[in-house]
Amino acid sequence: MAFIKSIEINQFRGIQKLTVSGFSNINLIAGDNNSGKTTFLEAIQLLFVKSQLSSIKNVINQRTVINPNSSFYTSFIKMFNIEQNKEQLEIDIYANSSNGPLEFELSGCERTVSGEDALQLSTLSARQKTQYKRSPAIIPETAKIFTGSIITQTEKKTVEKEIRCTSLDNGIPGTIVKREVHYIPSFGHLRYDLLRNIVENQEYKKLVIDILRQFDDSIEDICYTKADDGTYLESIITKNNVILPFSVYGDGIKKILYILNKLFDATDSLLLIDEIETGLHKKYFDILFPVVFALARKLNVQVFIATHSIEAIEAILRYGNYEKNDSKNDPIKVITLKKVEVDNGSNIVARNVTGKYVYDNRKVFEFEVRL
Amino acid sequence: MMTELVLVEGVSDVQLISYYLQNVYGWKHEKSNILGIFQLDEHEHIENLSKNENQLILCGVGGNGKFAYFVEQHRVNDMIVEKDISSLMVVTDRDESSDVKVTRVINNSLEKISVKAGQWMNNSIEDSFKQQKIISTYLLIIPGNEKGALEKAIIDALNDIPEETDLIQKVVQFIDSLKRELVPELNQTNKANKATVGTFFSVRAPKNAMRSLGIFISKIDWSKSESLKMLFLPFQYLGEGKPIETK
Repeated sequence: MAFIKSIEINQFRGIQKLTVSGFSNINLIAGDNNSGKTTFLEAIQLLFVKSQLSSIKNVINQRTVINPNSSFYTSFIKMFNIEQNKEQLEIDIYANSSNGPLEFELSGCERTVSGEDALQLSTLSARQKTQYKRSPAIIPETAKIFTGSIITQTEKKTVEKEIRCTSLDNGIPGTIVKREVHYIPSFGHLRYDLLRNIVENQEYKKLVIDILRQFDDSIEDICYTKADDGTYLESIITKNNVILPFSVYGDGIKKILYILNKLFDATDSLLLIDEIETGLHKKYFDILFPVVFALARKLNVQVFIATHSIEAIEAILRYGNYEKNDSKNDPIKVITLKKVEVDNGSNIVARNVTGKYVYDNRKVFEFEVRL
Repeated sequence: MMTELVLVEGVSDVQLISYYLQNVYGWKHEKSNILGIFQLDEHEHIENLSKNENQLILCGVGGNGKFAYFVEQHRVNDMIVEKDISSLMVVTDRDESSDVKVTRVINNSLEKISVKAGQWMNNSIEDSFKQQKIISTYLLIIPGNEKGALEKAIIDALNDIPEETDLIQKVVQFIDSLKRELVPELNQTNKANKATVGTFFSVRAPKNAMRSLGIFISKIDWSKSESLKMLFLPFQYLGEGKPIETK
């Protein structure tokens, strides 16, 4: 498992330069809206991508879960920090992990070319290019092109590849890469695919059903059922033997299943959860979080959780049991991100403190972790 | 917007200083404070004041010798790092100690900042986001240049308020007359001063004789005292730019 010990992020989105060290097993990423929480989680993912655009697309398209057809190029170029020299764009992310250094470097330059040239240089298929040529009116007069390289370093090797993409590229072809890091976007549970790991493992399934019963005690089983049209539906079977597809249940059940499913996927790796509170009522935090953390420990998963919910933060701190436990071997680190003005624009800075430090301070004064 | 934190010894100090800040420097009483600091036991006393957009939190630490305990219990050192505090002012009794000793005792409890007696100073510290910030500090030792405590400052102040001069002088003479035979304990300056202040207020407002000092504080027009004005002069800079001495 590549347990991340520290990370340095340079020129990525709103971050000019940010270094955070001393991560723990459970890392809470807090901060105001637009403070860089999702960017931080994306940076960790980029450390594990392969040297190809499709791999990067996998990461940056997570932001556009509601509108997956939005322009890849626009999303791609927005990865670069806007304060840097436009002549040479560069992102550099470096981490120390238990398995050695991890690095992701993306560099290159953007220039304007004619729409015709962009079409020729794009990654569009021959068929797509033909379709464009049949309707010349939709080829823009000018377009943008990015040329550069990706260098990735994992514990095993360093790989460098030349890359190119244009503003005409809506999709980037390529195989889906196996990920050593697992990400739960805030609305990821709406995509379904909630049961895959759960139904295949009877012991895990029993545990999950026990948890679900604390939310709805009528739940007897979870399984795939065949619909009239032959497709498979993710369903819940009630104690009265009624089969109900997940679509009739609220977000809470889906979110819990999604987290538990992904947690199993993340065995011996990293799990990143963005806005853990989305879809969950706060009264269930104290039921779910201890289970997630205990499982993460059992499955050897390092967890990074982004949130701006104070109820979620307090519930996570309760897991630390700080009234009884001292600060030695604190399992929780609280990393607060904050946007600050600097000479050449803005940057993101971080505070990294232990869960006990936050808990003790919140008892005696208004110690704000979200800012 | 400035947030000023003032740590004083006991309830009496809070009451007198709060009265002075409200009646002389125009601060207004507030229900809550921006730091979220609150009393942890019945010995502490916290008052919140505001002026324009500035806040002043006046904390009675629970009495003589409780400064370090208060700083630890309220995690004041963390608060200084984490919160936007413009200044920390410490007001403490001199008793029998020198400036050097009083300053040392206070500074032993503070981690990233320090105070100097009778002088505003700027402390440049790094917050936990590794951002530099400045916090001004001041140590006010009462009384200024002689042994004693707040009671000595109150006696001096009453002495130069025309309406109170006769009574305080008679009370001082009375307490003095008890020292030789009846109450030898009064030979200790601090105890004689406490007895003088207690007797003065009991005689001044007999129907409140058994009440707390706070009741009496509001019955005196302290703004007429020149000695108190001089002693409390550093308070005029709370909520404003501080006169920092440069070397």
